Amino acid sequence: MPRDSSPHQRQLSSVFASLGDEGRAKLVEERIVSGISAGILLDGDRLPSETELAAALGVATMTAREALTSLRTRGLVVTRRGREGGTFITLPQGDRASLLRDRLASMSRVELRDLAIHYAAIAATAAELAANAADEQDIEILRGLLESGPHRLNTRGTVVGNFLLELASLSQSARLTREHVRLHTDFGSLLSLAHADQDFDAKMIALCGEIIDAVASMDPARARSLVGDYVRSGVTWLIQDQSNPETDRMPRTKAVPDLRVRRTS
Amino acid sequence: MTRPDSSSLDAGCQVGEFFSSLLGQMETWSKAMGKAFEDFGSPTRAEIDTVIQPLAEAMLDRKDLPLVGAGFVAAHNALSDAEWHMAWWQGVAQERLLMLTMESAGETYSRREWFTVPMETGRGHITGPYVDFLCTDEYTLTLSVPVLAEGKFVGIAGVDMFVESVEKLLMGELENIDARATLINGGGRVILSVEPQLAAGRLLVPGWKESIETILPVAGEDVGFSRVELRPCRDLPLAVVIPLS
Repeated sequence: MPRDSSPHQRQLSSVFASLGDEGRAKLVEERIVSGISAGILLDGDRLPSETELAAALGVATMTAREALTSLRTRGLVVTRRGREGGTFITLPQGDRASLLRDRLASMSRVELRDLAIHYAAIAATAAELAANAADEQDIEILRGLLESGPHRLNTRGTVVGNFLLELASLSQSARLTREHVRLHTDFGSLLSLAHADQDFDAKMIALCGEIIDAVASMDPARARSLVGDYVRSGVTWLIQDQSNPETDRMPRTKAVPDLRVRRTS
Repeated sequence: MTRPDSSSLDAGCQVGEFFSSLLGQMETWSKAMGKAFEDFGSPTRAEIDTVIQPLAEAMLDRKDLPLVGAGFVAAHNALSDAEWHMAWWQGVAQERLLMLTMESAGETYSRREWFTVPMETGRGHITGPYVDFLCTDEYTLTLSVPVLAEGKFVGIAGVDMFVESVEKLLMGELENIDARATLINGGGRVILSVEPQLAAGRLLVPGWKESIETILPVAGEDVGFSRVELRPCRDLPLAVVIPLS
């Protein structure tokens, strides 16, 4: 039978698409691994208890336990008993980058670009809306985030990542913000490889300064276009990195495409 | 609809009544917390949690208030065993808010308006509408009051509600005021409006609190009127505005 490709049929297939045959424990495990690779969960962080984790993710306690056991076997968490006990993330220096590099290496350029398009669609629309809605106090918070400086780079997320998250919330849309957060752990975590390159990071922080200026002068079109520039620079960096045979030495510096020339208006 | 006249000058306050009575109850709540601080001397997280939990749960249980979160957020080093602390309960299930590491969360919350304004002014505050990605993950309004122990600021008591619930609760009252009546927050941002073109979150009359005028110009995109009549809700960071065509 020929495949029905009408819009409605496509929407139907998204509703009834396979949930995947990985077990639920595997899904819980992968969620935590993505939290680790995104830099949301850091070395030494205490995970919620089995019961709390199960309740938060909406799975049975047994499923959460199974996921934790598997993470323990992979050496990503350790469980300590006693009063100050619990399950903690253990992540030796550099392992996060290698988790990310494995993921980057497994992705095709098509997949990477498609992910970037999705991320840019959300982040740029949020920036556009933020430029219409931000007040002076919001602008100050954005400036504060940029000035928090690179010394906090290796704590939780990158300066630019945190900046874009704050900007997304200024869109006044809870849906856009949640989608941004979701994509941020996905594409944003890959971008953190690019941000480990100091040259790239400095240029992008400067670009965020321009985004603030656009938001402050209530210029939605410019805010949108600057976020697009950021995502393009990021994806270019990642593709260059993918095709570089010597990718296991960190951090390196490589040419960051100067996108300023493309923006003529 | 009738144009506003002197007899309806107080009408804005009826909408504000919901907020002022809630802030009033929170003052009582905050006194109980402050007293607990004084009784314990310098409490630990566990000690303060046992005081806050029943208070927060009783607040969340109330059917007349559309609350989705309630609790206490400690000032820096106010507790004896932690730099930062949030004793915060959420939603119908009254689940404890999960915070993996308080250091980063503390840095985050200590700069937020719902924390800084009560700390700096010593008074209750209404924050939002804003997208709260720290707690509710929703479009939120937060009411917060300072908690004082022996005159010293030790944290804030607060409640969260969805902007959506406020809309359901207060739209009728706003419609009674004017066909385009709009409730704005202290920053001049729309909380809810009868006027279809005015979305919640729209920055409409920034700086109204600093102005002594009762007719003010509107900011941003053209919505068919350029000035509004301002009716502040007594001393609350709230006002009702009526578009003038």
